[in-house]
Amino acid sequence: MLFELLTAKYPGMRRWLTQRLCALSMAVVLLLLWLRVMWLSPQSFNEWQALFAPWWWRLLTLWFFVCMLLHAWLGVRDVLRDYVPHLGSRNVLQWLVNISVCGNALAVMWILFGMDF
Amino acid sequence: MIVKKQKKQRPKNLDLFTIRLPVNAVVSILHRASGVVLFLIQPLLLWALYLSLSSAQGYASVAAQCQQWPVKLLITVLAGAFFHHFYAGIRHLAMDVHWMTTLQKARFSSRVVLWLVAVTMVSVIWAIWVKGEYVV
Repeated sequence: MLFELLTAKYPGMRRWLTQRLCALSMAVVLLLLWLRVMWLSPQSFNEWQALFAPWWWRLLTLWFFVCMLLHAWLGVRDVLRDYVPHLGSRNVLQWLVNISVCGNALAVMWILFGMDF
Repeated sequence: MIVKKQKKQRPKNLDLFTIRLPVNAVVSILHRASGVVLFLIQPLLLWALYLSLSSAQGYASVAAQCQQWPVKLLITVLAGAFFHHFYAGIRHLAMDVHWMTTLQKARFSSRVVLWLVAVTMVSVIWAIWVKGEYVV
């Protein structure tokens, strides 16, 4: 039964589970990120950049943002479906949200891997 | 027809001054509202992250902005939204695995969430407005 709920027959269940798993993953990763920030407590530009220098830190940050964007996209999608009954307006708003999420994803990639540290 | 007539005769109460949301509903709607706020502010935060990492001047300007009171206020509000979303989200996850789902327990966990947010915000406000540093 549980696995049947996760097949293509019930796409809502997969979205629901994705959002929850992203939430859980974010909570764990955020704790790790927070601990290192507290541990190093950067006070200058050089220390701040050094915080982001290790590849594993940037990978972890990227993973956090991927989870956050997925989680937020699913959440805002639900909000629009609940509160915007007019289909045309909802589609326009959803389109703007989709563009915004894609833009944020590109910005995160650029910040983490496009600049040289 | 009869059903329709009965539906119409049902008493309605839309007096907003007598309607009080139960505490679990308050926590739930705040979870939603804070999520939307955090989503909308994301581009600004990413811009600040970009600026602070791009150059020493960018870092200095972000640091200077963080000492302005309107920015401090914004960060305080965002911290409130974040911590509410975080604690209430953990509560929702717990309920998804059928933990604390009776009415009484749900009301209790709602109050726990609100208290946790309050306590966290006291320390955040103390750090930002009294101590003047962002490292709690």
